[in-house]
Amino acid sequence: MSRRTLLAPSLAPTASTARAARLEARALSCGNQGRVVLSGVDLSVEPGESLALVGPNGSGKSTLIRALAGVSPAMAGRIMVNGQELSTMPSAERGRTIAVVSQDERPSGDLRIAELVELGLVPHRNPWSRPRREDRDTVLEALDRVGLRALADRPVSRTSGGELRRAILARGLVQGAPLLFLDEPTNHLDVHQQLSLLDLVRGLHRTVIAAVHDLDLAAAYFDRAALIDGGRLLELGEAQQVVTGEASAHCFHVDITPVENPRTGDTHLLMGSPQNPRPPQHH
Amino acid sequence: MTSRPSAPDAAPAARRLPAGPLACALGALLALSIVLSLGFGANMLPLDQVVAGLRQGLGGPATSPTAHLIVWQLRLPRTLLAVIVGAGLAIAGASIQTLAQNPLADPYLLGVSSGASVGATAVIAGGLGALGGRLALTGGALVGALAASVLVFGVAQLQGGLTPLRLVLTGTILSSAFSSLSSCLIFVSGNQQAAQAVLFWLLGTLSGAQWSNLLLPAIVTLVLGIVLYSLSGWLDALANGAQVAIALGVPVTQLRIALFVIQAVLVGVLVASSGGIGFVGLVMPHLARLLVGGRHRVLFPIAALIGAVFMVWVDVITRILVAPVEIPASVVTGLIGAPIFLVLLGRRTYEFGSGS
Repeated sequence: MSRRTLLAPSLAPTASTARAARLEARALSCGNQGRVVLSGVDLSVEPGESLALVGPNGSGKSTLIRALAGVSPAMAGRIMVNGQELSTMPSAERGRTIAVVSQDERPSGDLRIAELVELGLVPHRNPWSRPRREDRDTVLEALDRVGLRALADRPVSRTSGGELRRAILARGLVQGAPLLFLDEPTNHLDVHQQLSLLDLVRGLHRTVIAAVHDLDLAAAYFDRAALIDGGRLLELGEAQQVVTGEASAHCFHVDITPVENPRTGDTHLLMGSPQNPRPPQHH
Repeated sequence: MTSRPSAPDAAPAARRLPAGPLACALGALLALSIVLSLGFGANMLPLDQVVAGLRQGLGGPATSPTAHLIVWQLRLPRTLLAVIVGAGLAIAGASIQTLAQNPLADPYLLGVSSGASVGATAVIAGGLGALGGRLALTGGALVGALAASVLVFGVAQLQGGLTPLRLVLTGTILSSAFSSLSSCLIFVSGNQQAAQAVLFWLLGTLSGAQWSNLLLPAIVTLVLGIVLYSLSGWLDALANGAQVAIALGVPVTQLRIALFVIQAVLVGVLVASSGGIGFVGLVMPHLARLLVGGRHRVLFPIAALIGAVFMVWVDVITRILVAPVEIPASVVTGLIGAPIFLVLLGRRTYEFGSGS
């Protein structure tokens, strides 16, 4: 995986756009439209570390991501990014520091894929500046990395869900932010695309926080995991341990058995209904 | 990220026209339309008379006093107002469709048009029209338009901010309330003139154009057009949804307020000078999007040029269709605009950013 930076010379990292950032949340409460979904969340993510948010549907993974990324205001508590309070960070600086790949975005159908990706330059530009020649290269390089270069000029309205998701990730790459949030990044992707997207994200060496549905992928691709359910952060620790722990099995109502892949030596998870004495051989 | 070989039909590129040449072509078409339009009216003038009248207005020899009067004093102000109103409404429409994230939003969504008609009716019903004449009417319409916008803004803000859904609902509902208020004023005053005025403000006309009342709409349209153009990058982000724009570092709350204020002033001034001309602000931005795509940096200039050309010819039609009687501008824009809009809708799928 290429490690060269995507930043055009004009986007050379400054203090605020270092390659990785530290994020810290203290006594954080967040919710939707005045309703508290999660409260008392304390967590910190070190520079370059990846954190998977796991939990049943509706447990508040997306809500937590929106709050931590500063997209929706937190209801209580503090969020610090590189020691700076997020709520007081100027919006353009926040845009250069934090990129979000959300799961429910429906872009304006009048754009082409390359134009959608080019929006990643918005926090780096005045709203009145014209696109520069090197911007096109920055965009195409990002599209290359997500395997969409051939679709650069396709209208957004004629792309599949998986292509759109990768285009939005490419926009996050163009944004050049050291802190990357991904909400269910593997939705709409086939198995091959899931793995290569997660490989790509891991190769970025940025600070990554992702809501992950698939516990197997959470354990395999992330340094740490946070288990949330019932409005609380239940467990925070090394990804494999959190995902295979008792709390996780309880939240998801499954038996989780780690097994070793005889060919690669990697650990995979077998999941079965707790009523069954033996977990089924596939999931 | 590695990718398997993509399908052979991988990239059917969106068909678009290059914006620069298109803008030049439209600019030339606009200049030509302005000159040609001056010949049309109750009195048809041949082109050499039009040119003579124009040259005299520009300081040339006084060859034909009648042509000069018709071309320079009567028709040219109208045509220039048509240019201003057409361009202004197209710009206003493009920006409100982004603010409301709704392709069906038009510049009157915020109740500006019906508010203006309340203001104008109140002036007439209160007997002030006789005192201040046209100036009082224009002033009343402008005050009504701005007051309506402030009210829509306040109600939407109280209910949770300028989100697209709130704007559309609040604007629509208050618009019908304003219309009822106008009707009520007419009914109570029993003034025939008031009924006429309301018709004027609902359907629009450029017949009131004079050199003396062109300056305000021209300056307001130009200045606010430049301001909107300079916000293009942020508007591109906002068109994909508020949350996307926030994540891209756009100050969304401030941007929405700025858009609202710009919109209210621009449309208020346009409505005060020409009444509520429908369909231009709704259809022209769509036509421009179809031609050059959705980036505001190209969308605004192209929509403005198309709107100006369209409005110049609409005004010609209002003058000659049943001459010497003039028909209201909205009658023509509606008859032409509705079929165009239906064709546009049928040709493509519209998708705007999701969420609040």
